[in-house]
Amino acid sequence: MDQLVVSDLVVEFARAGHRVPVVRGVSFTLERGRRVAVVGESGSGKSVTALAVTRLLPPTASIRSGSISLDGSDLLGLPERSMEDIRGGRVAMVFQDALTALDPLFTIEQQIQAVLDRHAPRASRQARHDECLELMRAVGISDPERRLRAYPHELSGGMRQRALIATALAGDPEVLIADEPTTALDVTVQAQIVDLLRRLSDERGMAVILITHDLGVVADFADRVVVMYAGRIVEDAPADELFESPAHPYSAALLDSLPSLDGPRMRRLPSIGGAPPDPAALPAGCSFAPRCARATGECDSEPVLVTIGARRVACHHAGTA
Amino acid sequence: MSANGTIARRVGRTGVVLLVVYAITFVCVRLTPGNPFAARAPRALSPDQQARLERQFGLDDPWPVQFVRYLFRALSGDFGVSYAHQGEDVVDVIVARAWPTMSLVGAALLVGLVVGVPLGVAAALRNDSWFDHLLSGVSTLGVAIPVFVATPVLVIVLSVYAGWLPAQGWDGLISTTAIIPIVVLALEPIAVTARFTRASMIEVLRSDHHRTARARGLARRTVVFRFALRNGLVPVTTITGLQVAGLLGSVVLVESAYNVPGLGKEFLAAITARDYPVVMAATLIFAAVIVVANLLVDVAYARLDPRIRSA
Repeated sequence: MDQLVVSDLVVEFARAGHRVPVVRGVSFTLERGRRVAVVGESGSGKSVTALAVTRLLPPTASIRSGSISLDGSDLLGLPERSMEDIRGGRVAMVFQDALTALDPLFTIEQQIQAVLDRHAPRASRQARHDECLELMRAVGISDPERRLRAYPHELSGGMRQRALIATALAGDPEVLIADEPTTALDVTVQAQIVDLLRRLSDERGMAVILITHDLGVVADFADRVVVMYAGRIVEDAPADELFESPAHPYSAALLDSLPSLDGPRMRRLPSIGGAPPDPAALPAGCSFAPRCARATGECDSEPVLVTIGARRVACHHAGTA
Repeated sequence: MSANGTIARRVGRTGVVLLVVYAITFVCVRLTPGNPFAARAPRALSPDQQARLERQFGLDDPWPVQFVRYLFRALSGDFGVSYAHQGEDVVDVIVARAWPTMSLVGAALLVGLVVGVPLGVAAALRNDSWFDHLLSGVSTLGVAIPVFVATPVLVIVLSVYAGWLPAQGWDGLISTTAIIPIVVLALEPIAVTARFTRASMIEVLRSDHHRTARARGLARRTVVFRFALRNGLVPVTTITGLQVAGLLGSVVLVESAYNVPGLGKEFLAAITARDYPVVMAATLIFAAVIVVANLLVDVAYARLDPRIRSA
């Protein structure tokens, strides 16, 4: 059953007196308890889409059109008060850099308890403390009693990210949106955090949207992968299908630029030539065409997202390769 | 670095600071033209009388000799006798006048924080609103108006025309006489505190951790008062330490203008009268207050920010 439904979302940023579209008609659904990875380069609109879902966009951004609904109720029309119940309580977010995302002046316990007090008030001091310990164990932090008393700067990078996830879990959300939660971490710790998110999703039946620019961390995690480019979804496919046979040239290029364990060893990793377009000056037609090896005259018109089997893809050449 | 080591180092540094202040004051006072006796004598002193007085107060010795003698006596708590208050011990002169000055400075500082912080927070929460712009305009005035202008203006308006407040004098901190001096002294601390609070709160409200707190569904009010305010106050503490130095400068003028029998007024009078021992002792007291204020700021800083504590 679809829990989160985003349709035709358009988000614009005010920049130098102009409105620059950063998210241009994004639609996707998230089923209860499922895991979706949203992949794309920086500037592709993936983080902005996530912030729009929780209505935490910066003041310069605004939602022009579209709708976002959670279990059938429209989030964009909700008064701010009701939105606060949803934030952290039903849809929680984890941000990229846990060092800046946690408040430097308060202990981990104080920060977890603030969320508990808000969404799940406990009767006694002891019960609150026990719940904090429980959350710390759930995110795999050893010696939780001591770590609860620590300040963010006293923890290692991976530990901080776990603690940040613990503050997100405190409201017992149904949907967790993790915005590049592993970017600031080294590779082994990245894998641990992704494993943790998968385990939490399984144990709690919690749906997870993992936003990342790294397809590598996605493979074992996601049920489905949404690939974004220049503010649009270019491909949305079951993870195994996408990794097996990407339908969009951009997805294929992303996959090609991953290092592989069984490929030739000294091979130079291919990269995608050129740079993503400036959202203020998008090319006419397909936004990826200028960087695409398969671009033809047809690509001067913007491809629509069409459903092919279990996937959706926006490319004139999809299925012809 | 152990806590004891840190404290020992700080006390050592404080001693050096006070010694340097003492030395500079000693030289400045003696470089000032005029002498303690000519100013007070009803008619010109003969060279003979002048020399006798100088000998009597030890002013005929070479400067280094005078300096060392002063220093050692001061270390044992003997700051000499005032020239202007005939035969009165300098310590007595200072102690009798310290209270009005310290209470004025303390009250102005407190008013600065109590009024300035909420104004700054309100402006940050309504960033770019009419209130924000108004506050920024008014706070520029607060910094720009010198106390020697503000004092007579308030006296003329509130005392001479309105007749609500006394025009001068001192009946203690809890009296109507304290209002004008405190208001005048607090103008700059209010303005500066409000500006710094506003700037640092705006930064905090844009921070990642503020966004995290909002993403947890915490109401804006909760986030601002439970978390953001403490973040915002860290830079404000630093400014508060600096305010003390400014206030000690202003209080000299305000006391003189409002005729408050405090250290500030005495300080100015002592300079005019070339009352060397009083000038020296008062300067030391002022310097000591600034040093102590900065020490308190450091303590407050460490209490607010755990990263300072562990550094």
